[in-house]
Amino acid sequence: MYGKDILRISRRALLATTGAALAAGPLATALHVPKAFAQPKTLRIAAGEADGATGTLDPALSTADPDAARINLVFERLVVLDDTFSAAPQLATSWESNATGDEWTFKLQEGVKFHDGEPFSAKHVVYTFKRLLDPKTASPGASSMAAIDPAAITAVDDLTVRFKLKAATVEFPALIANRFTYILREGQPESELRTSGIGTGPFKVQKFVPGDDVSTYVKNESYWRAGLPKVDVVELRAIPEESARIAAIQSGQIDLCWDLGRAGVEELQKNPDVKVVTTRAPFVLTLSCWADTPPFDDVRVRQAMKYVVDREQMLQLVLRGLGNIGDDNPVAPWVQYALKTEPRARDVEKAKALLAEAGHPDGIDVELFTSETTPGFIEMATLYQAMASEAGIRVKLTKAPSSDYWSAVWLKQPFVCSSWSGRGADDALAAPYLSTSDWNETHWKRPEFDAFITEARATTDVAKRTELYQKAQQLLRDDGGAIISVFPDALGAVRANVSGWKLHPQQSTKDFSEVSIG
Amino acid sequence: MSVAEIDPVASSTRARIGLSASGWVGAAIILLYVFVAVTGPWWAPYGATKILTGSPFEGASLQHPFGTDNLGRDVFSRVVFGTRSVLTMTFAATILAVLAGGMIGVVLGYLRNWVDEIGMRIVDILISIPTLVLALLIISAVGNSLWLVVVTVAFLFTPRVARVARAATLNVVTNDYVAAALARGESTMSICLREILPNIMGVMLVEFAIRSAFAIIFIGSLGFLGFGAPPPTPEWGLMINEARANATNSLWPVLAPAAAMAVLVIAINLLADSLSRLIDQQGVSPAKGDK
Repeated sequence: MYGKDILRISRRALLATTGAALAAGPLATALHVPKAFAQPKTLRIAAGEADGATGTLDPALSTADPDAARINLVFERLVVLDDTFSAAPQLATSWESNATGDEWTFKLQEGVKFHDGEPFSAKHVVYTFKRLLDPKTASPGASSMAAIDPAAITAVDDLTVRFKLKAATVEFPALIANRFTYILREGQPESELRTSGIGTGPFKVQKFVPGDDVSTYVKNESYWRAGLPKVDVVELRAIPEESARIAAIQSGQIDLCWDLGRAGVEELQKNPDVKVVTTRAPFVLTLSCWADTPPFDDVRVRQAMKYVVDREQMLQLVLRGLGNIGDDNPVAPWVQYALKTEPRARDVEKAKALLAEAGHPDGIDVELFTSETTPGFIEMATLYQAMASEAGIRVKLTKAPSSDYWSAVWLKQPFVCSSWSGRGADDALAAPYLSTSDWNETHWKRPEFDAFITEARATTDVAKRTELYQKAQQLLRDDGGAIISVFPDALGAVRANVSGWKLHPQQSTKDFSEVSIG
Repeated sequence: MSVAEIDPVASSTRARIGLSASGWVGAAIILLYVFVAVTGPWWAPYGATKILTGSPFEGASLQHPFGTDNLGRDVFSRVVFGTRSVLTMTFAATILAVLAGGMIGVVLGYLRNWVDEIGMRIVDILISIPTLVLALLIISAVGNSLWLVVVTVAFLFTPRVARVARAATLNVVTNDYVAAALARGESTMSICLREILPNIMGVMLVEFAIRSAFAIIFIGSLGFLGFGAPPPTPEWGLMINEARANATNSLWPVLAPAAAMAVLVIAINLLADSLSRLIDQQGVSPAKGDK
């Protein structure tokens, strides 16, 4: 089965690359012209991760990039994050908490309607969160919102919702501004949620068949924000192959794409038909090892593995300089609550000494899984192999197919390349590293760390809270199993006739309502 | 026989023994590859996996005849290092396939009884399965190692070789010397090895050359699809795949291994073509001599 997938990708890549390179320029522009007349304005967008038969529109189960894209077209949340990762209103207009931070009240936007005409009100919010937290839903996001008491989410009146929390959480609005909390319509059968959800968002589902190449969304004529959206139809496809995506935007086969790697950006910058869009993002590229599995179960081995990395070289070679250096801490230095440290300098001798101390004087042999699924994985793994070999860490690279990397390799192999979209400090620490997290990719379980996070969430004093988050980061940086050397900038591109699009550093947030074309 | 009669025969014999010009070109190129494969590691300017031998995506220069790739590795050195594994894998797979397929084909062609019938139907079934799909299936089921690739390719080519060997055998078994050997009471094995095999050697040689060319492309395809050697092995197919994403920055890392592969395949085909013509002519001449 996955052999077939690979063939499909390579065929598509081949068609796109050769076709685009040979014929595209003038021909595509010529074909493009009639689109401006008569026909509805269609925005063609392309996600950068494979979209297979597991694709979904159900926000509670969203994992892949194409999922996030279509959910953003159809649904909206109470709260969104602005580009500094602090909470901003969307379907909620305002919020307040009690003095202890364990009871939160949200006022909702008036006059919002679901796609089927049903007015948006508090009961839909209650339904959404109860469903999300229900163990039967099995949402991977539920654990990060475990503080919410599902039984105590109440509709105070039509436009007021109250959450009671099991533990005080002062960052609660930001905590629920994640990829899972999009508001569903109460009463829609569970079976429809996967492919034809009803939301309040700017677009309605027209056609989405998981596994099909293109899904289509049409304008929501009664969208509550006046004058939006600015296009009539959105076509979403997934082009996981980066060169194919670049060729597609150059040839005008798509109008907008994101999740670009570094390689093609220089070329795109030279192309007058394409505009490159970038933003500084705390997107995490990491090499993650299981801290409970030999040889990684010794902290000295983990530290040795961190000391061999030349972070500046990683930045230049993997990201072509378009990014920032990381220090094995998933919270980027400019994000609120970040621990600002001097990035660990490369020290091969120190790494060798640590390995010897840990009982590996002749070095260690490890197998690192990599894939083309996220741009930069192959380069990062190859570079790491070269850097690590000097300290006696012999890395055997195994390249896994990109179509099922996240289901068949990630969380299943002890040493993998992984990536995390940009998040605020709390989420960046909690989602991968809390011992209770479903996504604990490093098997690193430290009660002290969990305690820091829990306590920080309940601390109303900002200085104290910052200190707790920073202690957690320090522990993770020194002891954890993640080698985080770089934060790539988010890169995207649009055709020159597309305007109004901003990349969001929280990768799962993609607002297409203000994009206009032509 | 007069001198005048011998002369044309002698000159035509000389012409027959020599390869055509294109055959010589092919042979020379193959020899060059073998030379590179054997001696390359001693004179290649950089290691195959050495990063930052220059800045990334450098064009061709004296330091980097084929430029550098995205990690600043020297493409020329990687192509040179890759030659050895490509040639070893190709020839190992082809030799295995020709030995196994040849034996099966000769025995079945000689027996021509129910064993032949069953054997050939099995061969037909194996041939009817698309090679690449079957190869991906085997490799993803069993695992991913260089020797497995060799064995898989050999396994896929064996029924095809067997078919050719059997066809060649059918032409030979009707000859009187086979009947004579049978009358002398020689064993089946001895007839296959001593009477038939030497007389289909030419066909098998050509088959070997053609299969080698296929094997290079096939192994390259597996590497390209990520089913051959893991990165950063300097395997040509894998190199093309890795460099493809950066083709807009520099074409050298794509073109160099692709060209190396193409030239080798063309050379083998030239030689195979020329060999087969040579053998056709020789195949005709003993018959003439008999008369």
